[in-house]
Amino acid sequence: MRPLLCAGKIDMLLQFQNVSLRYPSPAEDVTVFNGINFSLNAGESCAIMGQSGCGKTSFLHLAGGLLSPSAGEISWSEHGSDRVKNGKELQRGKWFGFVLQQPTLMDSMNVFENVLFPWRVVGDGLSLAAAKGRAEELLEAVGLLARRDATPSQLSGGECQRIAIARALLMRPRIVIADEPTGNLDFKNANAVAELLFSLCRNGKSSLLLATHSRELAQHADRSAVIENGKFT
Amino acid sequence: MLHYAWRQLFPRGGGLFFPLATLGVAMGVAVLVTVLSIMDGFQDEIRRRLLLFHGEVAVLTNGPSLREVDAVRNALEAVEGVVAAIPFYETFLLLEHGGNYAFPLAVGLEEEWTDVADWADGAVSLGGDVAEQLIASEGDELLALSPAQVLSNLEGEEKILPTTLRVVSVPLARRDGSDSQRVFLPMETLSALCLEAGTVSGFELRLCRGMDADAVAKNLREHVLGPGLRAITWREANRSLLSALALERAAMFFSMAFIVAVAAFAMGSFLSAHTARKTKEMGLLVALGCTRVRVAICFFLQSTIVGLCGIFAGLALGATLLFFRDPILRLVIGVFGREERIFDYYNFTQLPMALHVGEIFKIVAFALLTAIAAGLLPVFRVLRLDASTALRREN
Repeated sequence: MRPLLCAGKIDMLLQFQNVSLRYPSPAEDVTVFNGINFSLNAGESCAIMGQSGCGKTSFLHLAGGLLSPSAGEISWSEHGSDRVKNGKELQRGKWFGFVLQQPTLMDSMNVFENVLFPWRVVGDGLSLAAAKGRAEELLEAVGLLARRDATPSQLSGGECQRIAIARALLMRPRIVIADEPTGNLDFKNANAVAELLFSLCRNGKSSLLLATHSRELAQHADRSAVIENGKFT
Repeated sequence: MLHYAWRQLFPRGGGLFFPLATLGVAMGVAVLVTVLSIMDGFQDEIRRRLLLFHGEVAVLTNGPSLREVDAVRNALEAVEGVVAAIPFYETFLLLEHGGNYAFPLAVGLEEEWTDVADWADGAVSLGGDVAEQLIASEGDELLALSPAQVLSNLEGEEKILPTTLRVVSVPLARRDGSDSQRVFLPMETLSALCLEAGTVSGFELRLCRGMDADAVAKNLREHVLGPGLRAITWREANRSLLSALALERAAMFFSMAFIVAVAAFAMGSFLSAHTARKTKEMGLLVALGCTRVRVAICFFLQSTIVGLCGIFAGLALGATLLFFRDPILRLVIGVFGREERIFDYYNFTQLPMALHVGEIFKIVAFALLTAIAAGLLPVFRVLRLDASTALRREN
């Protein structure tokens, strides 16, 4: 595992500068992070590790623009363009793909419709035919093209997680945010899903930010970081 | 997002929400349409019967009969909204049929007044109560004597024989307002019986279509009629019966409207529970870039679509129920064995029905607003959604 790097690069997608996060509480505010710095480059994968409750999910949500920091600055930029400092200004469907611990597939739709769904949310810049072609390509890559008409209730946990990965990559997001993607899977399925996730991200040139307890999974990443007492160690 | 809303209503693998929710709204609308149409039919039919021998406004004398018939008639027909002023005469008659006697109020009307068939000299229409007393029906012959004839027979030596009257109709049911206790004859027949030609008890006024009877009566009272004459509308003359019908209709609407409200809010509570179950999914939608407003619109669209489909289905179902209302009613009451009471009470041979566009519009508006209001319950939940919190949920 390579240690965490904070140096700036030309194609630095994501940057945390002196970021703090506190959750309000009736008794006393809970400090999750206190002045952390972090950066993620294009095409890079980084595993975020730490004990339960250390703030891994909060960090991913900050990186994904779903939370605003209590102090400091988070910015996103691509190919040297102006940095965006407010997550709400990002075109979320094109910047982020999400793979959660539970696949969260839509049970009212079949597999193909689930994979295609991010296009229906974001849509612009890609025709329906192109989106369908991309969906088929991803289903082929995860080995489930033959199950395209099945509903999520007809799939196993591992199959559902592969569909979730395909869905996350449909719009070729800049950053894939994966929160314990193998947490609910057995050892064999976990390895298979992990390899699939890393290889597809590399092939699609998407950066990967991954939260995990598993050292085996973290070893697949280009680098890793451990959160302890609100700071990276 | 329309696709998302569509799939929520029609999920892959089938689902019962849409058909059940639509059926609930449809049944409520159908019941409302059917009940109110029949109630309106009752009101229209009773109105028709009340106006069978009356105008929308009656001008009555406060004292003795009028002799200046033509002058008063011309003055009344000059009033705005009055098409015709028909003179009538009232007195009591002694009637006999098959050993049965009755002493009803008799009203004499000009021949061109009424639509009753065979309305000619010697004809008589009986109110339901009178027909029951005399045990007489259409086609029977009665013997009639007026009070003047009876007095003449008592005082004079020459006896006046009773006049034979021919029953041409019994249009008014028992207990069908005060007219069920009256009899109606052509004016010339009654005048001959009463030995008092050339006098009237008042005038029945026919108004222009759509004219407000209350406005005409007010105009008459304030500007036209002198002392000795008063104007009364047909509603004032039948106030108790019409009030009872209006109260019954309002009570039926109030009761039936709850069906629509219950159906709509059952749908709303299902959608609220549905959004609760889908919290993580909605968090993912927001994370992907869908705004909370768009997600909320999806759920709002579901309830609106169900409401609209339920309304159309309900109108179709209601129209079907109304078309087959008589067979359905006879089937139902045949089980309870009360056919005679229901039809005989109002002297109806079939269930009356009247479809008023304004009432249908009110029902549609009520059902749609209720469905929309029910859809707001999940909308408020969605608008308060925090994506980060939602994504952390364990489903």
